[in-house]
Formats: sequence, structure tokens, C-alpha cells
Amino acid sequence: MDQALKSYIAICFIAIFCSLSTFTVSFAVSPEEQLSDPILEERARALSQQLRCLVCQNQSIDDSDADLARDLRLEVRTQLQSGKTDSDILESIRSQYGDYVLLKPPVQTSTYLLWVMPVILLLFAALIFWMHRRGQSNTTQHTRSVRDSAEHTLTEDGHISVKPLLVSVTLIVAVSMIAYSQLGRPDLTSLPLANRSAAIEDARLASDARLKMAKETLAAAKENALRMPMSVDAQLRLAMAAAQSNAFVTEQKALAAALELTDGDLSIRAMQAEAISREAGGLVTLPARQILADILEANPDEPRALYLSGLAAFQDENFENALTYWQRLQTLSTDDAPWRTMLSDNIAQAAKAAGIPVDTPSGPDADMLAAAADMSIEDRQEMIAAMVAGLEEKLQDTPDDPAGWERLIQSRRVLNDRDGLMRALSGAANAFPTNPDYQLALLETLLQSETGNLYLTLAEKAVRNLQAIDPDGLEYLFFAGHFANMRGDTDEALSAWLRLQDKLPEDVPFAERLAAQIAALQSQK
Amino acid sequence: MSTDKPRDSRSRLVFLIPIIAFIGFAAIAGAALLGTLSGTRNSDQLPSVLIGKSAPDLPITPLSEDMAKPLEAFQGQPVLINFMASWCAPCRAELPALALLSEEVAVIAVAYKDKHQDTATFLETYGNPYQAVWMDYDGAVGRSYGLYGVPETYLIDGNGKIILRHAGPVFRDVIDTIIRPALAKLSEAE
Repeated sequence: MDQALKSYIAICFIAIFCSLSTFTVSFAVSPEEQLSDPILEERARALSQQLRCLVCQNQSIDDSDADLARDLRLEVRTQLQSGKTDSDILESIRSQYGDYVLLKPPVQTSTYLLWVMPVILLLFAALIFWMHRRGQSNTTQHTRSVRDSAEHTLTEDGHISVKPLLVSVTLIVAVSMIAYSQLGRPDLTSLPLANRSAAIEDARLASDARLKMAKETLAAAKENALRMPMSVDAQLRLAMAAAQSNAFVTEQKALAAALELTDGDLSIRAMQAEAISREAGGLVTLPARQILADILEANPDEPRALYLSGLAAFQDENFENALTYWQRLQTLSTDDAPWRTMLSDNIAQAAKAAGIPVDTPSGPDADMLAAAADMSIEDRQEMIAAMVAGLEEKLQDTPDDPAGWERLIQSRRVLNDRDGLMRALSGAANAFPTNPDYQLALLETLLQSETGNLYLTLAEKAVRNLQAIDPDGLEYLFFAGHFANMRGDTDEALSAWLRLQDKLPEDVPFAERLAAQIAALQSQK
Repeated sequence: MSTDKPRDSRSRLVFLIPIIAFIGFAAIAGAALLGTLSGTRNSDQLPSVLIGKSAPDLPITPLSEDMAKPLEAFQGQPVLINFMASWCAPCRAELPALALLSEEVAVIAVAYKDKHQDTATFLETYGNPYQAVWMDYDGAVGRSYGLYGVPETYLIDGNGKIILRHAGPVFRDVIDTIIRPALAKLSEAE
């Protein structure tokens, strides 16, 4: 093969190899380590590539499967999530492991030689080259002319010159760099170099705003607590705001003040135990355990204490005890308790660890929900919405399914879908016209939702159903009066409420309010 | 072409320079390689950056109530912090030497990434030379000490400052050549 062609191909290979090296994909980072925020994850990857895996031979922690490397990767991610800057994070790890942990050594007195060496070597090479040329220029004119021609052409006949070689190498490198900056890395295509700084800036602004808001809330709560030193509510609100800003000292002071004001309220004691544990990074510590034991002795049903005791047992890997506490809490909790989902997750985890089978809701719903855990938030919500819609359709065909209706009502409540909730409640009330509970559920929700006249026909129907069940029932009379009033029928409202007043014992607190409303109606007339 | 015309001596010298430079680099790299192979140049035994600084906080969970002595309780006297784990074989191997050492200096353990029950069983089975045992469940405290792995041992002086880091098990030769001299230096300074 022609010598020039050979060199040309070699140079092309080198150029392609160089551009490919920017596309290295590492496999050490496992999916469960990754942050959901792609910008933070990208920063985490970049930082990990700068940190040495200390127990490996010249690998970054991003490439290494070593345990310590994994720990450091997780630490980088935790610190990123707490809003630290890249240089803060590198500095904090360097302060523990020294310069050696940085794959790129810092420029400092002890590393000047290291950094300057390439420049020195380059100058040195240039010097040699220059001396070599000068030495050659002393040789014959003929040599020089040959050398000059060799500089511009690779072959004697001059078909392929140096210029296209240089141009093609530059082009390949330039094209790959532009592709990288515009399209991003194959494993992180969502973040081309070009938009990255803007995206990072946005994320930083958002997290700044969050921090600022938490700070302001805390300051307001502090002021409020100072203004009303005797208010338990103000102290509790301060504790909550402090917890959100990780101001543990303030939180515990506020809780202590609230505790004093309430003369040792058990639920506030439980909050103290929680605050202590939160400060310890989620570990239920000995002092917290002491408090929990005291609380449960006084009131074995204190929900927070039960939850934390379960957590303590879980952390000790005493899974049976954890299960006992948590299952007790589960039987005590109402369906709409906010910790419900977390609790059943925990129970499932503890049961799995202990090797005990527990009754978890089975069937297609449970399976689908388990599948939903792996999806993105949007996909998951879409899927849940589709499931709920399917349930609603099924109930329209086969309305004789009380458990189904209750599930539908609960789902609509959780999804915060008001129209859907009203549809579900009225569907259930229609399906079981003789069951007062369903009528009342609908009416009470209508009463609380302040929706005006929007659902008045639904209410009328339920009120009539109640009347059919018991024409003298207190609930019937109350709602009949309320909805008559709402549609402007003062006479009917008055007659219903006056009948209710007759039946109502005088000492119930509601009687007073009813009397006031009757008086208002009478004055309207 | 008349390139076979002999070059002058200076050009020959210039030609030699890269070769000499290369040999120089090779010598340095070779010495480093030999050091690594023979163990005198070991990245595991780099001096800790924390030396001369205050010892970071110990974990918050003790193994048991009678093993819950905090670092502050040892103020005014040197103390060894031994990072160990029940899953680590050299940690078991160093226990007799640590027991010997515990007669001259207080030794406390930080169980690194270990399970509570496993640490307890480990110490019941092989003996407990420690005055306190703290549980570093997730290894965060280990990382704050710049730990590479277990076992690793840190000597803390009476003021709570880190004096020495030893990576690897503490055997009798380590006691004689590293720990006792450091202890002697500490008592001398007083």
C-alpha cells in the first residue's frame, strides 16, 4: 500500500479513537443509586469521575464496584441533594481522605512541578526540534530542498499533501465535539452540554427558593411563638417549621416549651422522640427509646410512639417486634390516616425480612400497584387514574358491591377529584337507597365541600332516601332543613329545623347553633 | 541525496537528549514500582489528613448500655479507636493483640457497617477487649475518619486530637514498632 495512504488511515483511526473516548459508559453506578433529578445525577456522575477509588488501582469511584467507592458515590449524592456546590462536596471529601482522593491533583506548592512538567517538556521538545533544524540547515542546499518538499507533500509526486490530513483530523474532532455539546452523551441524552448550565442554574434557583421559603416560614413561626408564649399551637408550629429547616435545637426547644404548657402531653413527648431520632439521621437512639417506652407505658395506643418503637425494633433487626408494633398501629389507624401507605410498606418490608407472610391486599389491584412502583410519577398517576376509571365503569354495571364503592370513594378522595368523588358518593347512595350511611356520607361531603348549588339535585335525592328510611330521623331533619335553606325554601327549612329542635336534647352543643340558625331564618321572614 | 554526510557532534548530542530523559523517567517509575511491590510505597498507609485535628464524633448508637462510654469520657488520657466489623477476618485475628494492648491504653471499637446482633455475637464469641463499642451502621462515621476499610486503628491523645492512623490489623509487631513508640512519645510530651 501507498505510504501516504497508510499514514492517512492511521491518522483517521487515531482521530476516531480520540473522539470515541468521550463516549465511555461506566457500569458501576447501579440504578437504585441514581438520583431522580437528572441534573443532580449528571453532577453526581461528573463529581464521581473526579474522585479516586481509594482501595482500587487507579479507578474513579464512578467506575469501581468497591464498597468504599459505592459509599462515596452515595455520599456525593446525599450532599448534592442537600444543596451543596460541587466544590463544597469535593472539599468535604478531601478533608477526610486527603489530596490522594482527587484524581486531578490540586495546584499547590507541592504539585507545581507536576503541573509545570508538561509545559517544560514541550518547551524542551521545541528546543530540540529547533536545534535539529539548525543543525540540518548547515548541511547542503540539496538536503534542504528535499526537506522543504517533504514538509508539504508526502509523496514525491505530491498527490496527497499534509493539508487535507490536518483538515480531516480537525473536522472529525470538531464534529464529535459539536455532536456532544448538542446531543449529549448517549447515556444522558437529555442533557446536552449546550443547555446544561441553564438547567443547573434553574435547579439551583429552585432549591434556593425552597431554602428561602423554609427560612421565612421558620422566622415567621419564631415570631409567632414569641408573641404568644402561652400558645401550644404556636410552639408546635414552630417545631414543625424548625424540623423542615433541620433546625434541631429550635425544634427541641419548641417541643419542650409545648410539653411544659400541656403538662406533659404524650403526643408531644412522642414528637420529641421523633425529633431526637431525626437529628440522629433517622436512627432511633437510646434516649429516644427511653421516651418511647415511657409513653407506651402510659398509653399503649400512642400512634407516633408505636411507629417509632417499630422503627427502633426494625433497626435492631428485631423484625417480629417491629411487626407487632406496626400491625398494632395499623389496626388503630383510620383509613385516611396519612401514614397508612408508609405503614403498610414498612410492614411488608419487616415481614419479608422476618420471613413471615402477612395479609396484603391481593388480586390484580395489588399487582398493578406493585408494578406502578417502578414507573415515573406521571405514568403512575395515569395508570392509577385508569384503574379508578375502570372500577367506576364496573360498578355502573354491577352496583351491588359495597366494597367496590368504598374503594372508589377512597380513591377519588386520595386523588382529590371532587367531581369523581361526588359521582362515587351519589352512585353508592343510589345503589343502596336504604342504607343511611351512604346517604349521610354523600350529604356530609356536600355540606363540607361548599360547592353551592352545583350538586343540589344529588342532595335532594339523598335527603329523600333518608326520609324513606326514617321520616323522624335527626339526620334527615337536619339535612332536609339545610338543603331547603340552600335552595331558598325558608318555610320548609324552618319546619324541618323546628321539628329537629323539638327532638334534640337541650344540652348538646349543636342545639345552640341550631337555635341561632332558626332565629336567623325567622328574622329573614 | 547526500543525507549520508556525517552530522556534526552537537547534533549527535541533541539526538541523545531524549534517550537520556527517557532513561531518567524509567528510573523514577521503576523505583516507584519496586516500592509499591515491596510494600514500602503503599497508598493504604498514606498519612491521614486528619492527623493533628480533632477526632470526628463517634456514632450515636452504642452496642449496649454498658458499652456506651463517649469519647469525652477519655479526656486527659490517650485512647485507641479501633474500626472493626464481625464480617472482617483480620478484625478477629487482631483481637488477642488488642486485648494485650487494652492493659496499657483504653481501646474503644466502632463497628463499621455491622449488624447489631452480629457485633454482639462476635464479641461474645471471641472476647471483648473494648471499653466501649459504638455502632456505625452505615459507615458514615468511618468515612468521616477517612477510613479505607476495616480494621483500622486511630490513636487519639488526651486532648481529643488524632495522632496516628494504622490501616490493617494490629498485631504484636505493630504494637511494638508503631503504637508503643507513639504512646511513649505522648507520655513524654506530658
